[in-house]
Amino acid sequence: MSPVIAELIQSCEWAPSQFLVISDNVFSPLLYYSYLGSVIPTLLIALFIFSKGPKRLPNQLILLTALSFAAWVFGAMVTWATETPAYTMFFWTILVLVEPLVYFFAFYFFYAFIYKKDLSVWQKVFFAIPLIPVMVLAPTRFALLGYDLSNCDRNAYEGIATTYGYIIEILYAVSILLFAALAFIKARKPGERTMIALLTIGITAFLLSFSLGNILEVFTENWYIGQYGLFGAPIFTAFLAYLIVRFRAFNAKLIGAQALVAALWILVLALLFIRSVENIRVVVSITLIFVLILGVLLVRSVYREIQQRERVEVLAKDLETANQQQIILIHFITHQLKGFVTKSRNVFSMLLEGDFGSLPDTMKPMVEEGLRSDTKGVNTIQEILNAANIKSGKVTYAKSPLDLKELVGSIVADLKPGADTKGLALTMKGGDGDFTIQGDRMQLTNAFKNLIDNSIKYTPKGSVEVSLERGEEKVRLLIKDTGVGITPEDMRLLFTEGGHGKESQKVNVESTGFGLYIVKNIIEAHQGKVWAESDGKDQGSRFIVELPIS
Amino acid sequence: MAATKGSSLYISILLLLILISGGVAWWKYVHQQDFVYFTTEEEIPDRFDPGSYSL
Repeated sequence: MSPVIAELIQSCEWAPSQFLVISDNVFSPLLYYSYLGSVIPTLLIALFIFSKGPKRLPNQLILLTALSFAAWVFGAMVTWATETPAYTMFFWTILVLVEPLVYFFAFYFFYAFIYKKDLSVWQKVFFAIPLIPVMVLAPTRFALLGYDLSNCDRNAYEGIATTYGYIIEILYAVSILLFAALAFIKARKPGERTMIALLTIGITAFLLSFSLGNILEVFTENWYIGQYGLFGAPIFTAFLAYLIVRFRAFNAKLIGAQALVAALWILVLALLFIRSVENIRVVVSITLIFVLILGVLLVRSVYREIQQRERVEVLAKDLETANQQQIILIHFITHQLKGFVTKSRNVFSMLLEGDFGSLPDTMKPMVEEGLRSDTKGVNTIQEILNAANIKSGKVTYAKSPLDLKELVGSIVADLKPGADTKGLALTMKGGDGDFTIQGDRMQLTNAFKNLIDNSIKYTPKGSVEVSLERGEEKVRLLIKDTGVGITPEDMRLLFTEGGHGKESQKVNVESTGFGLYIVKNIIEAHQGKVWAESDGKDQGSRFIVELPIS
Repeated sequence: MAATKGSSLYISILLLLILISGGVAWWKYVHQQDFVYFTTEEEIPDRFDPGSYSL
């Protein structure tokens, strides 16, 4: 730098800046109010939208629009505050670079959001090409001819490339309006036109006020105008907030009050930066407009929320009543059915036992089949009733000291004839020691019988081994079979209410899907746990129960 | 709609170009101090005159 230039700079008596952006060189504290008041709500809402779907293109683009805008605002603040010509030149170049980018990303966001698709390759090329000259020429004299030291205003003097940048901003703004008009004409779904119109108004208000503010301040040399232009950004964010609340846009359920109150806080907080009374009038007027708009939106959104909540409460009550009535009805039907089937089973049983005289040989197989079928029916209905009772908490457990070895032994003995008929080897290995636990004999019998019977049902050939082991604090029952095994998909459904595995249904079509659910509840009521293991289809299964020793 | 590889690449290229351009500006203006000072109004060229851009 030549001594003449250094002397000229010194004669301007510019104040030194702190953190690049804070200095007395800023012509009015209104600048901080307009800049921060516009960029913070824009960034907040863009970050919120992005966080609700970081992989969605419109969400990424709204964040990029806000970040470009924030970069512009930061650059502009530095050019206002700094006393160093080199910084002015560099940050002014940043303004030249990012200003068209704000428009470009705003356009790209608008297109992706409204049309719900990406630009085609040719559209991408068409809309990117205008940016190339700006990027190439930004660090040259074509963008900034030099630093104007003629009047101590700390300005860079803009070249033709910067003017070109302003022109392409118009291209993107006009493209938004054209695509908006096309989408508006094509819109068919209810509310779609309102959404397009609102977004178009919001985004146009943002871009036009931004451009007009910048252009008018240059022509009129009234630096306040540029500051007002930035208030288009929070207006845009207010429209976005409204769209989120009204149309559940961006897959986000934003409570309107949160967004609006945050914006108000920031605006009121910014009042602290104003010192002169004249500026306070301006700022309070702008804030009042904001409060009026946001207030109406806030009240409306809260009103809508309350209406929705009241409706949900009414629906929840209706649903609960309907559920209760359904449970009572199902209970009633299953009880009635159980009564009918039990009576029918008793009739078949009496016929077979000869209570009404001897049966002809031709009738016997039919009556035996009737008895078998009714017995299955009674068991099935009982299983459904048990599951319903467990779910409604009606089951009580009468616990007393119980010898598990004896209990499991008797169940195995009961089920052995059935296994023998299938040609399965059902064996039991009991360990040494005491297997006494505190438990409900009837319920645990039901649970263990269910598990062992399941293994027999799902094992076409081979063996079912039942073994008991005693640990220090618990007893472990293992039922291991060489059956059909359990696929990982079916494993997820085991022990769930009415859970039918795909593979298991092929083997046991009569399964109610409640058996293992009941087992799990009974075992857990005894502070134990039950689970299954299998290496997959046709690899056999292992059911393990662990119960605490009393 | 989800972002695609195409859209991510497109945005990345644009941001990279902006970064390069910004980097060159930093190097030129802040590091090299390579710019002209106009000390009087008469020195300020006409931005629409091609002669103002002679390299």
